[in-house]
Amino acid sequence: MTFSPSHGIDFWNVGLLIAGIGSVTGATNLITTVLNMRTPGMTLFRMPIFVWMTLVTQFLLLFAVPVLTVAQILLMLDRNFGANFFNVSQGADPLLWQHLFWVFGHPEVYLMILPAFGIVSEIIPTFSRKPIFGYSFMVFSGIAIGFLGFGVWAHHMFVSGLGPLSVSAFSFATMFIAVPTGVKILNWLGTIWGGKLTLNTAMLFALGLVTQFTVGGLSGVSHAVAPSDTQQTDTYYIVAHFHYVLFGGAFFGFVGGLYFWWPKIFGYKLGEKLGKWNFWMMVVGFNTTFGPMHILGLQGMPRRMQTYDDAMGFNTWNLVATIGAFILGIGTAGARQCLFSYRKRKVDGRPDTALDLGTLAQSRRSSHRRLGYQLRHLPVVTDLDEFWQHQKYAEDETTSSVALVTGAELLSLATAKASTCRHRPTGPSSRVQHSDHWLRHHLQPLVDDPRRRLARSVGVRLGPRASRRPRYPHHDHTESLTHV
Amino acid sequence: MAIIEEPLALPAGANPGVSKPLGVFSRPRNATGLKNWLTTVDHKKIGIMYGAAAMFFLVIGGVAALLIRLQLAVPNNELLSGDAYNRAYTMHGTIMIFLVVMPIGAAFANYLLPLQIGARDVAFLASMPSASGCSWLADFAQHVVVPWWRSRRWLVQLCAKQRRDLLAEPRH
Repeated sequence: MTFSPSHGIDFWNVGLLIAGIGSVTGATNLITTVLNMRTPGMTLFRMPIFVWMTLVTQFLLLFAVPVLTVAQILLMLDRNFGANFFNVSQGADPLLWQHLFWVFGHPEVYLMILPAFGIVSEIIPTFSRKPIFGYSFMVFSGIAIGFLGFGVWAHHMFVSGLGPLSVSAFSFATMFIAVPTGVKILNWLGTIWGGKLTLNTAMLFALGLVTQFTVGGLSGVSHAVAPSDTQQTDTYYIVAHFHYVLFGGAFFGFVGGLYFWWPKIFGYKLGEKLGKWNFWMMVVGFNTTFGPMHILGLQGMPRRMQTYDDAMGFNTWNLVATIGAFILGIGTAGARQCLFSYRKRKVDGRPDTALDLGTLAQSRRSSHRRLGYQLRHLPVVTDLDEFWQHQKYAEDETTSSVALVTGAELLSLATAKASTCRHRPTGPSSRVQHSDHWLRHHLQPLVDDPRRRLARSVGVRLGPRASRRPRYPHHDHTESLTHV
Repeated sequence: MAIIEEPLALPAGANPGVSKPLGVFSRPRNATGLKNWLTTVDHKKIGIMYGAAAMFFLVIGGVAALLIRLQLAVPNNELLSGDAYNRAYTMHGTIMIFLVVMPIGAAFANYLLPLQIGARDVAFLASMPSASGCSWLADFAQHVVVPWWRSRRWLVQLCAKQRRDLLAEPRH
């Protein structure tokens, strides 16, 4: 009460408490949804990466937010009811608030970045026209980040006198968490590698996340080293680091998701031209704002100070950062085209199939304008990347899957006939869709390719997944091929 | 245990009648309108509301950020007092984390997650009406209470300071 006697802090406190309750409720709801309400055949390891990352995020929320709630209740008791949890003069532990806050605070940063990771893991495969590289690695690295995120909080407190043992333990754990994060970046690069890239706005934002988050991640590793962290703590180097992670990382991912799913949600696309302006101004503004902060931090400019002296040598880069901030502000305002573009480019309520999403969501019609349950028949999922699989594999009468085309053939076909993409199935998905007329009409010539027929007659399968075993082992796979 | 004797389905063409045993808490039937948006249990609408709230607070948090940068643009600047600067960066951080990034994550999760796993809606819908609606309303209460209070005090103090300055040092 001595330092901030106004009631502003009390309102702030109560507001955050309510938000915490909301977060935990929402987390319970979404966890239950994922664990209990998946459609038949949607096993955990056929879920899209975005669902996986959201699931990990909700677990983080469920376990991290109550810690903040506890800390805030203690704070409220201190401020309003005369308790002494944080009153050092009455014998309280001076580090208690810091510990409570960062036990929440570090999982918090992961629960902000993980949904963005999930979004990017949807965007990059779609516009590279390849399935995600290393699906299970993506999933398990997300889970690993979730677990390790609870074990690194004290790296925010290296200079608060924890003692050498704690410092080295948390330093080690912090370096360790860079490993699953690096795995993710490697997998995105592996997905992009050799893909046929479509550099539209959503993809640009996703690539922006990958590059800028890498910069933020690297400066993060430099904090993990306790001696260098001692130099960097409470300087603008930290400010630069967490803005690269949260703005260049998380927020770029979310804006990319906005461009990516906007047609799905509202039935029309956001403008690409304005979108590219939006992206490039944000990239230039962002790096002009926060790049110089690395330098300022290493020069020793402390954070949370309202001004600095002329003689300190901080003038140039601060001015540059301010100019960058205004470029960034204008660039971010570009994302507001969603407000004034409403109903302008509205085409129809159908999902934009030209987007070529691999996930189940795209095969389903949905609109918030129609209340209730649009889904009359639950789809049956038989594979990861179900919607792509429909185009590449068919099932014969014995429900074994047979390859219709290779990925390369499908790719050339899709680029050649991009305009016909709208004929692909949009109704409620089911396994009958393999006989869809799009497949028959466009892909049958490929199936009847004499080269493939020859290969089939001698028992050799062409295609990227030639070694794929039949789903029902009692059917001989080579025998089932004759049905095609 | 009750034994249901009559057929569960109504005969074709029969009017089920309008009964709202739960009053205002009953399931909304129309798909548009303010009341429907506020009382909705549709995960897609809740997702959209999260997103809209995040976009709104992005402006406020962004203005706070620009104020900070304006203050730091030149050395020995006196645009914001120390206290006002404290308020600006505290609210910038709090708004950006709790009112922008987390709600926009919740927006994508609420809208897309049930669609991507083939669920009809989120889990707690019938047994616990609008659980996510509650959490959205809780978020919104915080959205309104906190920044309004803080910005009001800050604005009042800024105006008072300007007024004091103007009165104290008449321009030549």
